[in-house]
Parts: sequence; C-alpha cells; structure tokens
Amino acid sequence: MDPMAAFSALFDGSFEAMKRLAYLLGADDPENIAQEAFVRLHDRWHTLYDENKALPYLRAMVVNLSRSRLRHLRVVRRTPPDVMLDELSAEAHAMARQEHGRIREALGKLSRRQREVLVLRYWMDLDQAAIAETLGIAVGTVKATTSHAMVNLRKHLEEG
Amino acid sequence: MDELEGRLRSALAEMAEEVPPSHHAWAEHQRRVAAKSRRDRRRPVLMAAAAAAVVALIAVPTLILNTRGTGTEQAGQAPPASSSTATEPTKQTRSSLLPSPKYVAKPGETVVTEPFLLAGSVRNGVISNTFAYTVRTAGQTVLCVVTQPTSEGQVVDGTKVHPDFCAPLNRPAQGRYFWSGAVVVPQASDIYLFVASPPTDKILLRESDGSYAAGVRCMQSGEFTVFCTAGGLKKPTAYSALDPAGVALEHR
Repeated sequence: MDPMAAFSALFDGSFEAMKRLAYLLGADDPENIAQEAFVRLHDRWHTLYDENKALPYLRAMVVNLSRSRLRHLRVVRRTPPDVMLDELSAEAHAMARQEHGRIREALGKLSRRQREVLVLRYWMDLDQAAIAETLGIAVGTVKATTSHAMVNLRKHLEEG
Repeated sequence: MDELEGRLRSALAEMAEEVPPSHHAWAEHQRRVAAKSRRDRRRPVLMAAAAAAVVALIAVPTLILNTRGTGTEQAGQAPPASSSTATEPTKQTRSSLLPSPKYVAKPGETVVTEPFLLAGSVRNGVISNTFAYTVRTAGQTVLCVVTQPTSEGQVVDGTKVHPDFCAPLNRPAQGRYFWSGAVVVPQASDIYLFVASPPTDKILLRESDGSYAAGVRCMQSGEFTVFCTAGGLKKPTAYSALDPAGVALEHR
C-alpha cells in the first residue's frame, strides 16, 4: 500500500479511539491530543510505517500528551478529570446508570498510573506487554499496578 | 473475569461513548501538517541567517586583525603565513571555515575517525566549536570531545589541545551492536552520541517525556558508526539500533 494511503487508513481507523483514550485518561482536550499525536506520527512515518510500530507509538504519544495536559492544568489549579467527567456526566449522561457513575468517581480517585493501566487493560484490551510498552514500564510493574488499582477501585466503591 | 472487572469494562465503554465523533478530523490533520511544514521550511532560512551572522562575526574581526599586520602574530591568534600580505589572510580565513575538520594525532595515537563538528557556542565573547573524534591509543579506541576557539580553524591539534573528555569504546559482545552507553556532550547543548557496529543505520531513542528522536550518522569507521542527536534533547530513557530496513537490532 502507498505509505500515505496507509497513513490515511490508520488515521481513519484509529483517530476516534485515540481521542477516546485521551478522554478516559482525563484530558480535557482529547481531540487536540489525538491530532497532535497523529501530526507527530506523520513526521516519523518513514520509520514507523508499519501498524505494529505505529499503533504503539500513537498510544504512547497519547498517554504522554495527556499527562502533559494534566500537569499543565494542575499548574493552573484545575482538576480536569473530576471536573470534566462530572460536567459531561451531567450534560451528556443524565440518564446514566448510578452504577457507572460510582465507578467513574472511583476511577477519578486513582493515581494517574493506576488509571492509565486500567483504561489500557479494560478499555483498549491491551495485554500486559503492550501496556508496558505504551507506558514505558516493566511488565512486572504493569501486573502490580493493575492489582493495586483494582484493590483501590474496590475500596473506593465500598467507601462511596 | 470477576464481577468488578465486568463493571469496570462496561463503565469505561460507556464513558468512551460520551466523546462525540469528529466530522472534520482529517481536514484538521491536513491543516496542522501543512502549518508544521511551513514552520519547518522557515527554520533552515533562520539557521542560514544565524550561520551567516556567525561567519561574519568570525571573518570580519579576523580580517581586521590580519590586515593590521604583526599584532595578530603577537597575540598568537593566527598562523604566521597569514599575515605576510593583505590578500593571504582572506584565503586563510576562507580555508579555515570550509575544509573538513582534521585531527593532528599525538605520538602513539592513530586517528580512527576525523573530527565532526557538533556545535558552536559563544562564551565570554569567545566563539568556540565543539568537535567529536575517535582515536586509538595503546590498543584502546576512545571517543573524545574537544572545545576550542574558532580561531583554531577546523584543525584539532592533539599535540596542543586537551580534550574535554574521552570515553573508552569497547567492542560489543557477539550479537550486540552498541559499543557503549549513550555519551552526553554538555558542552554542545546536551548532544548525545551513540556508537554502534554495522549494519546499524540509525538510532531511535525515546526521551524522558515519551517523545521519540533519531540519531544520525556523523562519523564512520570500518568497525563502527558514531550517531549524533540534535542538541537539547531530554535524557533518553531507551534507545534502539536499527538496520537499513528499519528492523531493530538491539534495544537498550
């Protein structure tokens, strides 16, 4: 396939998923983050012209751009995950089930890395090796973080 | 899958559905790529302007000093031949800027790769160049970095200058490619140098903020290639040697 056609196909197939990943990680501008990730991928397409390389790169880029965005927002004294999710839940999901609302709230209380691991595992369905590659950590760390995240999630749900 | 995992999966799927689709995402992508391309096209022009300014900074004072005659010789800033006539200094100035850098070996040294200009800098009003080169001495190959004033031209005279530092290069084990870890050059805006065996064609590295950068070939011998990054990179957390087909040979 022509390289640019391959890029276009990847964009069509993955843009929405990358945007949603940024949103689930707590970014308040998921579209901008997904766009920026694709512009950076476009720059390096000659070396990453392979879905096996491009998708992990995109995921890692979205995770890192989301972290940067959250750091920036913390500096300007906002707490985007909770604010954004509460606002959107009120506006777009007034009828959402209470159960999902509680999980949403509990997710917002987890540490950044715990939330990332859970989103990559239970939303993107990535295996532990792919999560490790995306986050730049060891597979053992992924296992431990997932385990701690589930314990904390359960605890927050019980407290809530 | 336990019950909590199922609830979590379901809640995440529902949350993801809250994100409305983007109807003009591809058009926006094209706009951003075009805007970035325009910015990148302007950059070489700016760099050329900066380079021209540096050349002017070097050439003009050199010409002025040389046309004044013996004053330059007394200061020891130019070779004796350059001050004999009014026209020769110009030739000397040009030739000192244009040729490839050369290394004058000390007794007992063998040049493995000639110097490569990593960066220029200005400190206390003195314009300096930072070079990297490799030499073999007492059976050991070393990668050295030296910073010297631009008045020394493109010749690194090992008999006169002391390198900023030298790092030993040890041949990698069978099946490995990197000769040593990353060598950082603080004198040249934190440029990183990597040494790898053939058929390494490129180095891909991940910075501490998660972005990726490539190291390009800057010196080559029969046994290894030295790759350099751009300056100002964040500390690499991982790097890979890639062959010409882009296949990873070794990760670190």
